Amino acid sequence: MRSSTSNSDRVGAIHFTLDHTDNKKKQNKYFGWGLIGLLAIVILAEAFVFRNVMFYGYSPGFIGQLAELEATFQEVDASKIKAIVLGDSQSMDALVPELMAEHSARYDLEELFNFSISGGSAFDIYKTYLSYKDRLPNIDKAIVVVNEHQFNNEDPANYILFKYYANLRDRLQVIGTDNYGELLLGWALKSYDMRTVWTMMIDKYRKDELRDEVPVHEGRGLPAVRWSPSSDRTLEHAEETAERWFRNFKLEGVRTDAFRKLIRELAEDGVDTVILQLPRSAYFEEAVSTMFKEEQLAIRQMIQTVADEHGAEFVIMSNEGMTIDEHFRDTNHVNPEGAALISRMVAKEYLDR
Amino acid sequence: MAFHTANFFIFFLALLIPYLLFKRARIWLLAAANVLFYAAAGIGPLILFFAVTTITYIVIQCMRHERLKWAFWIGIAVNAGNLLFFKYTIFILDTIQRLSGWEWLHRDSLEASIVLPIGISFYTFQFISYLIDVRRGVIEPASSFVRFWVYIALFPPLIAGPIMRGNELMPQLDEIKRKIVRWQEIKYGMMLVLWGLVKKIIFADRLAEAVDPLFAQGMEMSGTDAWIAAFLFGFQIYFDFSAYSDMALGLGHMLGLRLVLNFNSPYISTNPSEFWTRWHISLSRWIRDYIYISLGGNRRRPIRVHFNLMAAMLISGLWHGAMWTFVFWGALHGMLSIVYKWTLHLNRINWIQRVREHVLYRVLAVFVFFHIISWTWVFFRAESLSQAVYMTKQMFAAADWSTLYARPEMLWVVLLFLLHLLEHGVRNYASTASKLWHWVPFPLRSAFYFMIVMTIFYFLKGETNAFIYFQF
Repeated sequence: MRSSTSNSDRVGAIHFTLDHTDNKKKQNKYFGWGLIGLLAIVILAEAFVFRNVMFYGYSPGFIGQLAELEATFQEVDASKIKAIVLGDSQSMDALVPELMAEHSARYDLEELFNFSISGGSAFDIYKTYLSYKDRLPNIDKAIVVVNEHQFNNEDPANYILFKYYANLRDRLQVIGTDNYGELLLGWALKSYDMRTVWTMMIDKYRKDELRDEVPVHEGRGLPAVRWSPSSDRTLEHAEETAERWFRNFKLEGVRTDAFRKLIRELAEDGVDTVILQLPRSAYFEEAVSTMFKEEQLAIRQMIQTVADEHGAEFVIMSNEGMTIDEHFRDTNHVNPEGAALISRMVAKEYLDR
Repeated sequence: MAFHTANFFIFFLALLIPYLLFKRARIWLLAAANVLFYAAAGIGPLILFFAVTTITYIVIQCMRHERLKWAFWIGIAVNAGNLLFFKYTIFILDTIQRLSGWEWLHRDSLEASIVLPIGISFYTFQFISYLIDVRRGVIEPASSFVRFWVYIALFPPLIAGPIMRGNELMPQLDEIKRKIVRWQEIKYGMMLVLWGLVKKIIFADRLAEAVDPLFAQGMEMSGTDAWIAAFLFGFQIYFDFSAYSDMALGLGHMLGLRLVLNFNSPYISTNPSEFWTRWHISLSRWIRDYIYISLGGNRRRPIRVHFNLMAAMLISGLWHGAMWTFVFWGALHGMLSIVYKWTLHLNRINWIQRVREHVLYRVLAVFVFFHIISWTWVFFRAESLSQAVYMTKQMFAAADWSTLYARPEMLWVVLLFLLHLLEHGVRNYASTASKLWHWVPFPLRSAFYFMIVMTIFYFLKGETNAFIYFQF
């Protein structure tokens, strides 16, 4: 069958002259096997590559760290884990399971695991907990480390960790006229969603910079970062960080909802939960309290309310006795000395309680 | 909303499924989709577009009555005025200032407040052609506003063409309720969309990365660099613009609508006349039918024919943008067309005509004309007329031809030309190409498609570049 409009013919329109549609038999023969095969390859690639966290572990990064965490977790006896730390890079640096075990009278090292992830917002922390929850049958204690940036719902959909973890329901919560395509197509095709990650991996592969295997860390969680340049220990750095954390601050949204769910689920699971705000440098506290006092107060009130609702304890740890040069690698992350101090304090005062 | 964005993909999918399922609702679905598609550019431009559509529709209804035929001129004035105001106000005032020395105030605030509504050049030409066709009796005035809106605002060709005419699209819209969109058409449409994406994302945007730094050299560009920049920009603009047209055609196929072919391998042209039957075909036939022929076309004395040609090409240049570079680009094409018309007289000499019919002559003519057309692109792309003139001087006076053809970039030019030829072959021998392709075992075909999709994703990792023709 030949199909074209007479008007189109006259003006030289593209003709639909695929001769192979001339008879039914040939039509069937050309019934899109190539496309069906494409669909099959896409499904296989999604299942075994793009939705497989271990694939991303060959390159460090926000998603790569999830593979490292998984690989590290697989090496431990999960049934022995009783106390967990959930948080971001602050708790990665400050709460070292080895140090906490040394000072804890209640928990041995094999009973501790730190699930903190770099760049984690309240949403990512909750989703990380969910992805391990069923494999942790014996936990009775959770230290949830909070800070202000975890609750900024300015544009969560733009973050790669959100994209990685978000299901359709989460995406619908943050959908808008500008990002609906990214969110929905990304939900259907992780290869599209994670394109910034795997394309960077290809670039690294071409430069021979890709890891040979996903690293398994000796500790019980991801390793702490131990060094930053001295320029990161200044008031300017504190102000820049505060500015970044509170940019277009919006408290209500998918991240804060996730925090509420996390505390509620921990309570429902019978886990004794302590919500901690770890000590930050005096510079940082000064920057936040002068620039974003109201926002900080609103966050703290929200956390206190959630803690009260679910029988959790919310503690803002003081930085008294800590100095920027002695205990911090930058204005809000501790160095090894700071980590020793905080790990001991947390083990004695909150873990063993 | 550009076709290569995820937003468009979801938008189109959300339209296509009910469109295929509910035939009776198709016209309304298309009408709503057009509104949503254009609303993505902003509510202001949508209101303007809707207002102009309403006025033009009313004018067309008036034209049904003999006593109100003059309303045609209102329609022309409204549409031309709309385009003139939004596209040419600053250009006209700047030109007056340059000529008179008069300095007009508030230039910056005016420039900031007059934002060119997206697709205005394209939809204005569609309105005008519709008005003229109704006046000429080529088509009946639209009897339904919804149908008229769907024709004018049909989203696949809305932003960058092809410029459709009422007699091409309206009969299809009349039949849309009964149209059975077959799987083969959807598949063919998908193929065109995929090919468009490849041209835009894998070729045009990558070429832009090479072209932009070359043109950024400004007045320090060597002759060979200028040629390389011209060749590469020629392919960049071709891949960019024809990609949009291919995707528009593909989307049309998926909706059961045939849009006119806008590009037909323009760089295999041997002369300006042939070039304009292959490049932006819908615009050149618009210029031919509504400007050139209206001015008398070929049926006048030679001097008037040349004037008509030049006028048509100047309007074509000015249509592309309110800058002197575009006017000169149009003028160059006008001059080329006039010179070519002169040379046609040589065909009276038998041996010249025989030479011109020889295949070797054609090959040589394609080679030479490709250089000429590439040179004209300099005026289209240059930041200013002075840069274009400087590049021209460098290209013809200072270029070292032996160095030029030894440049590694020339390999890319050759490969791009071969791709251009391959595209020509596939388009013109679609049936054979399709059969050949289907000899390849389907797992290999699938793997090939997969590689293409992943390559597109790879290059879509950053900002998505707008299509060049969106600015027109």
